[in-house]
Amino acid sequence: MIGNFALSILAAGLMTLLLALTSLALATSIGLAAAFAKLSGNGFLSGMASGYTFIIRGIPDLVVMLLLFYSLPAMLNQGAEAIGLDIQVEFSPIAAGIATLGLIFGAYMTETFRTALLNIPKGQIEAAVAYGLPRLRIFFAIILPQLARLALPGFTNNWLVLAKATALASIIGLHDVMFRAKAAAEATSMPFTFYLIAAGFYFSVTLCSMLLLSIVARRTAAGMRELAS
Amino acid sequence: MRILFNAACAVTLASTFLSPVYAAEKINIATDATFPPFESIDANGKLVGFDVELMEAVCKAAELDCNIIAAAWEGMFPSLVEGKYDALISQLTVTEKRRKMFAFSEIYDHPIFRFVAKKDANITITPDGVAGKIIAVQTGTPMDAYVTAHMPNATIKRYDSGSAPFLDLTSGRADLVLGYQAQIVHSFLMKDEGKEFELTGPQMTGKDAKEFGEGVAIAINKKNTKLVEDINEGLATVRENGTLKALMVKYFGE
Repeated sequence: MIGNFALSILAAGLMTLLLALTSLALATSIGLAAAFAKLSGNGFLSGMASGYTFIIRGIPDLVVMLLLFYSLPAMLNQGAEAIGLDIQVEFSPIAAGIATLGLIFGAYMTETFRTALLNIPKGQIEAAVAYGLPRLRIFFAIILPQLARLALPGFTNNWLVLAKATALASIIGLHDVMFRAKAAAEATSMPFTFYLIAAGFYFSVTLCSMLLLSIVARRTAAGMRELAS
Repeated sequence: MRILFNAACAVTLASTFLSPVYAAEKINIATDATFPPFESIDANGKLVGFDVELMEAVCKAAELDCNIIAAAWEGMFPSLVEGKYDALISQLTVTEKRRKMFAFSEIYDHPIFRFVAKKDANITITPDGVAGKIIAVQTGTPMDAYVTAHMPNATIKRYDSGSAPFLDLTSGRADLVLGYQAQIVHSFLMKDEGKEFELTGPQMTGKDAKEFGEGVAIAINKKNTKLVEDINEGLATVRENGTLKALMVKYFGE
């Protein structure tokens, strides 16, 4: 019986991984866009990006999640009712989870990418412009490879925190590892067993991520160590 | 090509984020599946328990297309008021306060509340008898309300989960636990950890103290008067055809 419950918890790992990876993709996109917006020199864009990171980093994850899942649809529905529209907006737990974690970690990613961008020597870009390279070429050939290397430690950190923060989505009823662990714990009155299994799952995700990302780090940093020393 | 691609992305995103739960005429009924034997998730991920089986029977009798969802207790009530769910079945005690927030079906059960203690504990269940003792309960439950109101001289420890009070009892950090008799028997006394413990004190129901409520019923969105009628009709049918009685025998042996 314990085996079956354990399997059902690990099966929910797919849901946790789906949430984590989709949120990571969203957070990375938001982070890149906001980092470039902050450094764009355009007052409006950088103001928007600064406002976003400032507000999001000041609110607990749990509060953002509850606001998005419970309050936002209610507000939208009341608004729709007020203007006589007969629609019901509803966020599924997975959608609210992705949106929340994407928004929150997008703010942290923004800062990670911004610092990394600032560390790319300006002279390189100026030289590329002087050679008449098109903007896209500059981005892909000069900025991106260095951005990847410089942002990787911060990116790794954000990902590790994000992977564990997915457990919050169990509060809004997403059937993830945490939700199933709690269900199994209560169904069998054996909380230690099943929370330990959940802990083991999160730990192995962290372990695998660290292994993978250290390989990536070695690749992106190829040839750099000699230069640095 | 790029416009097409962008449009496809936008549609996919929009459909993920705005997936309406209301697509069909399904009735969404939520339950907090962490309370065996009333509602829990079994090893195969299936919802099981007295409330779940009763709800299925009621839906069948009333010819409703029901979708029973394992939801989180946190936010279940606001979700019902806002219409995210149409009804809740989770051993919900009917109280005046709750009646103001949502409609209730007819009461379908009068649960029995009991204390449980170590076999040789010799504690008299009276306000004086429990003075100085430690009582563990699940927070926000009728049990919590009862001991808070009637046993002011006992130390009350409150926990978020239904199983935590029993852990405190076995480890000796609590002298008594107050719970649903069926829950105590099923989740504790029948297990190895519960061997040295026994039910103690009188069987109590809503008739003995108002904190235990009028009974348990299905909570339904106030605006949905049609659903209240349908569910009551279904309840009447399962009561008449003996399904309710059979479920009670199966789960509580009454």
